[in-house]
Amino acid sequence: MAVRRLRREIIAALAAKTLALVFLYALFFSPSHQPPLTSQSVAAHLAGETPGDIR
Amino acid sequence: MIDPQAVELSRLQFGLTALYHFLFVPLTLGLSVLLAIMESVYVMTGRAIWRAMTRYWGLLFGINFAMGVATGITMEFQFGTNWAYYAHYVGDIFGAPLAIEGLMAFFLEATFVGLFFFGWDRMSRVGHLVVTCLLALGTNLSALWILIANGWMQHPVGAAFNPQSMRMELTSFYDVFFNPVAQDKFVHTVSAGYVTGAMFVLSVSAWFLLKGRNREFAKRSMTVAASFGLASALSVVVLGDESGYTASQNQKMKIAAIEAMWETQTPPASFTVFGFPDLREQKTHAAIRVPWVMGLIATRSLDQPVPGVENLVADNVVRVQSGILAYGALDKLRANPKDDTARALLDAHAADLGYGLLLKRYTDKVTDATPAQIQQAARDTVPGVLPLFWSFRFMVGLGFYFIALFAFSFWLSARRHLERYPAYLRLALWSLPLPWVAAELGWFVAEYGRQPWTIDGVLPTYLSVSSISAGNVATSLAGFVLFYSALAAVEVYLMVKYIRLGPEGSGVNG
Repeated sequence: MAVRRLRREIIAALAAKTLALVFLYALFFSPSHQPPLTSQSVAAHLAGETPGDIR
Repeated sequence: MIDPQAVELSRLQFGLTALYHFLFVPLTLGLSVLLAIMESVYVMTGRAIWRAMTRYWGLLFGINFAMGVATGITMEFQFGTNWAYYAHYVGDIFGAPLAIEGLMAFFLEATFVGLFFFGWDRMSRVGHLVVTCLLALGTNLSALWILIANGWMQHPVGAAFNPQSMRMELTSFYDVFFNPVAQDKFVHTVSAGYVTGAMFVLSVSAWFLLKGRNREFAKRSMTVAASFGLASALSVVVLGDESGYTASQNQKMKIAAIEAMWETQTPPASFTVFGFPDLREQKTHAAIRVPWVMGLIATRSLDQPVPGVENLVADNVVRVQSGILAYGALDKLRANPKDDTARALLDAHAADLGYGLLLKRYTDKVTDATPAQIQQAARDTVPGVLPLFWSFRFMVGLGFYFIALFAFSFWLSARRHLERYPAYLRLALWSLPLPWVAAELGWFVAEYGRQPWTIDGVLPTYLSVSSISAGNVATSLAGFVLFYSALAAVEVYLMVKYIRLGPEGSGVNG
């Protein structure tokens, strides 16, 4: 039956998509790839180094 | 130091991901409402053909939904890596509507998609219709929250800069929700989605008629698509005009660039239907202009001016100078948080802090910027005129084409002549990709026209990008292109396969 076949095909496509997304995430976007930011580092990036500590 | 290549590649990656994601969204928006209309007719009349129509178009909706779901999540991946400064600076505001959208999408849409497909023989007719309506509501509400987030990037209201945390912080959720730019974008965008859904049904049905198969099914489908499409296409133009008005109130430079209006005209300004903008001479050659129209679109009056690019650049020089004062005050406040004079100065010029940040592209010592650097920063506020000018005109031209096509389809349907003209059926079939082209051009105009800002007037794109290498972005971009190309191939394969099978072959006639 076509609907049942489609269901199988969609499940297969969703599984492949989930795998690909996890793969992309792990390779390029997981926390180890994210630059750690603090208010100080953002301040330094946007407004430059200033001797004062804003906290 | 910021790598300009990393900035451009990050923009390209985000833009491509967004454009790819939006291939699925408009069809989901449009088909969900069409399904609710078809099923309503089935519940009211009890005629099996309307049930078959709902199930068949629902099946194609399901393929699109399954392929499209989570394609937008990769944009959220990018916020953390490529746009970390952006995420820190405005995440408190921008994150809230995105989180709500996530909850809506996962809990409302996903639940009702499941009930829609598996509930046909398990629920009463009315019960299933309620599910279909809630599915349509869920998809549209998802779009609402995304457009609230995007509307805030275009017109940041309900937020204030906190120098202690170096972030924008929410001051009024009401203002963010009822942001006029967001509301206008929402109705304009969902109407464009309805046009896409209507065109999909119209085109596929036209193909059935050209092949001489499923004739009753196809004619009924075309009737629904023609009437719904006509109403939607008219709405897109009317709401697009309203969107243009709100943009002209809040993003004057974007409007001036779209119009290639170099100098302020004597009111009421004319609208350039066609022409060849010349960036060097700052003229539009062979321009065909309609008097008054731009004045009416942008100001809703005949006596108010629509500012030109050069006039706005001159205004922005003043704003950059004001931004320098804000920047200097911020520096002092960071060194001494109890400096009341600096705080007062920052408060007075806070609205222009973003304009001061534009100078970071040219100097690390913003407060010592030269007049030439100030001039250059002000000139950076002009987005690319040529791409905007042409994209906008193609989009608008397509909008009027949709009205004509759906009106003609409606007329043929009312006279029961849908099958009479094969040339019309071929035209309807080959018009299939056009709503997607128009929608993508619309997004391009909205987002490219916002440059050089990620948050209009607040945060320059250049400063929003993380300190990452261009090589890393290029590699992940290649990964995305592979991933999305594969998905697109599967989507097209499944769609073509089940369109060819038709309602009987797909087993949805029962």
